[in-house]
Amino acid sequence: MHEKAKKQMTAEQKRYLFLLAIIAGFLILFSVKIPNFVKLMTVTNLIRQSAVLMILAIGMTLVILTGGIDLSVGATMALSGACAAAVINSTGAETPGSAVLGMITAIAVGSLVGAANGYLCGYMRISPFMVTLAMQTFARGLTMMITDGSRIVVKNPVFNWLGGGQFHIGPLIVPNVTVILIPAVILALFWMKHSSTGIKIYSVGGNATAAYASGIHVKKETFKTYLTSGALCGLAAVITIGRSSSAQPLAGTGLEFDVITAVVMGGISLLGGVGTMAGIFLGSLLMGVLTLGINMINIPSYSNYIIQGVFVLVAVLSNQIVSLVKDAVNAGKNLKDSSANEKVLEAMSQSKVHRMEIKDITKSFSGVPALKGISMTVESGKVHALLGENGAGKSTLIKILSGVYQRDGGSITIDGMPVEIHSTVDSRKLGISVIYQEFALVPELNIVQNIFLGKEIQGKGRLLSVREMLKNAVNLMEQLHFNSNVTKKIRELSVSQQQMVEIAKAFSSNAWFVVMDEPTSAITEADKEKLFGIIREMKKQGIAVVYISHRMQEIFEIADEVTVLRDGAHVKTMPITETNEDDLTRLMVGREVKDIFNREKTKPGEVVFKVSDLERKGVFAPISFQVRAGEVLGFSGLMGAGRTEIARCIFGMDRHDGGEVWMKGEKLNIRSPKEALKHGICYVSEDRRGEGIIPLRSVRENICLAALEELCRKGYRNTGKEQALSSEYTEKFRIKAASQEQPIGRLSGGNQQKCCLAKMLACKPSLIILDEPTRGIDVGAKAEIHRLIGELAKQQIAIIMISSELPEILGCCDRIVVLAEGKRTGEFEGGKVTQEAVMECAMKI
Amino acid sequence: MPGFIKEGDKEKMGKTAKSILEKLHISYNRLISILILIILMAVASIVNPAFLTADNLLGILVQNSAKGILALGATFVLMTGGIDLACGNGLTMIAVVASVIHITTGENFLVLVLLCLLLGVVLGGINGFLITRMKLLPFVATLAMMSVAKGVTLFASEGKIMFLNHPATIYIGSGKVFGFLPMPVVIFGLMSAIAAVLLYRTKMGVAVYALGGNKEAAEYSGINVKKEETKVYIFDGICISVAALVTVCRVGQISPNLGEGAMMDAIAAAVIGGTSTLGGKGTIGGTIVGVLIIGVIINALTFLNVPVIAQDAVKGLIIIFAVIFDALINQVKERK
Repeated sequence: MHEKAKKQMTAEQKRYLFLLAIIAGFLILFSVKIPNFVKLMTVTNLIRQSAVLMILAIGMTLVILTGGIDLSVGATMALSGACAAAVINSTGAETPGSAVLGMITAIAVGSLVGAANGYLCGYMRISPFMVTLAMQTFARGLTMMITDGSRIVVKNPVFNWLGGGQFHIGPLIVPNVTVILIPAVILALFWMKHSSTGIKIYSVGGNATAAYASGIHVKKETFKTYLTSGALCGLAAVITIGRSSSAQPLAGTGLEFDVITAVVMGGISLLGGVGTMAGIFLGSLLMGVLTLGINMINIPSYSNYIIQGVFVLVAVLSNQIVSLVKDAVNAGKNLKDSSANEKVLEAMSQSKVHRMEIKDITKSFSGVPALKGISMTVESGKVHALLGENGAGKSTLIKILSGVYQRDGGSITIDGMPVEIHSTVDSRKLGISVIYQEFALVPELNIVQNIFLGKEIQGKGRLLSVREMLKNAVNLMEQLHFNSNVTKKIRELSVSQQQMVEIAKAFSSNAWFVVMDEPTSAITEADKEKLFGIIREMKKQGIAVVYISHRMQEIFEIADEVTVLRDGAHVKTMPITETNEDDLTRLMVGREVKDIFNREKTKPGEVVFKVSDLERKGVFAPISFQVRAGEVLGFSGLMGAGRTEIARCIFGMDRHDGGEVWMKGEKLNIRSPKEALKHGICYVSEDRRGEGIIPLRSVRENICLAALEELCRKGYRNTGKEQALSSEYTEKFRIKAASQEQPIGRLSGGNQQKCCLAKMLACKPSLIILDEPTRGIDVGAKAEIHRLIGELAKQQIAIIMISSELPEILGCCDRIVVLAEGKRTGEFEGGKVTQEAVMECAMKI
Repeated sequence: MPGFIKEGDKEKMGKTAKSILEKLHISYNRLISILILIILMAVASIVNPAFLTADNLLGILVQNSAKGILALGATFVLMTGGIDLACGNGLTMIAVVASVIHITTGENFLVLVLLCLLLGVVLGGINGFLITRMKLLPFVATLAMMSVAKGVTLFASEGKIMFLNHPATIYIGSGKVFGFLPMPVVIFGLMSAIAAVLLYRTKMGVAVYALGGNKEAAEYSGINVKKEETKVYIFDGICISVAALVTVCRVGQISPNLGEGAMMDAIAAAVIGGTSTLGGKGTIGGTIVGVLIIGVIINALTFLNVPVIAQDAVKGLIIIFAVIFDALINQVKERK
């Protein structure tokens, strides 16, 4: 149970040890090379050297953890210093009063710049890189104007005390800056670990949308980090002035890069959300030792820069050296045997009918087997369905065929000849084409360019033949009965149209083997028919299709053969005519699933939640409905019918243009998820990865995220309470995790979904909106979720459930509202209605 | 729902072929940046009656040629979703190292040119290698290279200032083609043309958009992502080296702080011209407009006798406003 948690600890500790070892190494090197080093190299100098760096690194870490960057720290420090010096010299130069004024000025100016950065990056969501780069230029220019390009001498003893002075403890000379440095370090460490701000910052950096949907004020938290960074620049300015008794206009030039270097060496990822405070202090210390030693070793200063550069690389590379070596070895191996494919290609060109045999394919990821010997045979002109729960290995198998992953064992043969697929290029050459579930399209390129992506037609001098590609694309689109302007950019298309482009892309590749991974999950019913027409056309042309879907009906409609996978193992392959839905379900889960969609119905109570004429222009028409306590209200309809959009408006994720929302007789005006949660309204998003979880944070933190305010006392976290809450839900919901401290991203989809549900229930809601709660999770987990919905209803919670699966809606809901194109087209009593009736309403336009 | 291809449209297909490219070039953002440039030029010509003279306009171009060439490289890198922090220090390094060797080997102009290009390719190659093969974040890799470049510069220059007096360098720096077109501007134009052809008419260009727009898609579509990304950094390196060459020849005096602020200007020009720092979006025309915007501002400030030290403050402010403006426009568009 605890092994995984331990492993992670060591990964972090390894970094600390690594840094400490380098620091120690340098200390030894310097003491050998410099005779006086040990004597001179007192703690004093080292602290002096790294104090400013450490203080700035704290701010920088906060900013980087939110996924931002602050390139203005050096210039901000110079500006605060210049302003402070000007104030001191104009208010009496050497009096203690002016010193206080100076310090206040320094921190105020720093905070002001920080606030400007924070406002632009946090509230206006402008690229932090650009904002702070521009701010750097601005602040530096301003500093130049204030100082007129020359230094301002500061002779105030009180002001200079912090940066310049020192005191004795026994034989030790301690610089005064320690007085502020040590508390700052301790505070930073403590704050990140025990305050709610800490986890909020990690959440914002880990997944801003999910953090927002959990009631965290993302903009404010981001703003706060830049503000803190700015204020710390002010503090650093006071120290810097104290050291040299003057404010330098060029102080801190390039300092931001030193700070970032220290932070990166300390293990903070520039992508945000990863790393710990402790590492950065070691990083800063290393920089300090390095600078100090090189200054004393009497080698030219340029080596400092080179060594620093090399160290950034070493520190970052040390994390990934193992995987890099592995990659290199594989790359060498692959080079050798790809040439075998050429012969196969030659043989393949003789005929149009092919047969691919996959035998005993195995694959594991860091020791965990994902495929345990899969075999199947796919022939030209047949549609072969691939079925299995999530995590059964379907996606892994496809990715091996498309060359994204490499198999560990087993063989792939085409027409009886073995082939090697090491890259997507190999796979494409062999005539294999894959349509992925997440679209592999480039938003800024148009349809033509996307269709020909990676196989552009080149004319003279390796220039692209734009005209020819356009002509081919138009022909192709006509062949597929897909009417759209081919020069439209992908980002201007609807999801359904994008799916069609994906299909056109696969079709155009002259592949004989096409894999479709859940192609119908995002398209309309009408487009589905079109797609099936295309698949039948492909069959006629002798193309082999591997079709993956969770929807049984489709499989029986289109497939010739079906292969079932379970837990990475091959279960059975058979012609579709020899099986039925129950059979397949049993094979997939390995057990009988009885009536997964039924729940015990309870008698609904009072009306809890009421919506009247809620509207968002251009998205959905005014709609009114109400939900009772303990009632499950279903929202049915096709993709894009406006179901999710209504839910998002109720939850405050999107603005609405009109209408009223009432909760227990109180009229609400909800503008953000935070306010919705406060009033007992919860929403579990359909987009689990994008809006539900913070993948790198632990199960415990994810479950506690939305209820954070209640779990904290005056902003301090109570680990005991958090653990109690999260273990309550992991037990109740049977969440399968190695431990509560395991990152949630490593759990299976179903377990992640349960965590999302737990997170929202921890807020003790009166209304919970479940948006596609069972999408993309396996049959077993589905049944569990349905059981939980039943329990929630029993607890008199009002539930709105959005689902595209009709049996689920019919089985779970007391009442069903059907939407089409943003309008309500019907309402039914659950249990008294047929799938056909609901579908008919959903198709009404 | 999708628009239908009508009969008339089919006849227009030939024209559409051209308009594909045109469409790629002209985006909303670029129209706005052109508008900003025109407004700035109008303001500048009111402030300075001599602004709209050929001399002054060519002067602006000459002064910003090196920056512009640097910005072309930065545009490619930004579009792949990367960043090159080393371009400013890289420029200085190439300028200093090439000049030192050039002078010590008896001032052979060809040596200078070849050395610049070689160093540029090496710098870009190392960046590309670190980013694609060592899988470092571009920010980290180029941050390290920035440091290394600074060290190498100091090592090579030994803090000294050098002078270049070779006739060929003087011609590159201040010579004129057809008697009126300054060489730096010609080189900038040439590099822009090369960049445009690379971006719009080659596989590499499509790969640049794909890398920044959807890297997985690029990979799954059979694009050799590592190779293409390395090529982008090598092209960036070549841009840096040509910019270094132009700077060296134009200034004639090489000091270790030659490229100060160049990185900032290059990235700012690209971003003002509509290149997204998140990748996937950008045009060559836009970047050129961005370079001109910065150039016109500096030109006007200099005319107004704003001291050089204060110009930075103004420049920073203007970049902030440009970025805010862009963000506001995007937010309005999103709401629609």
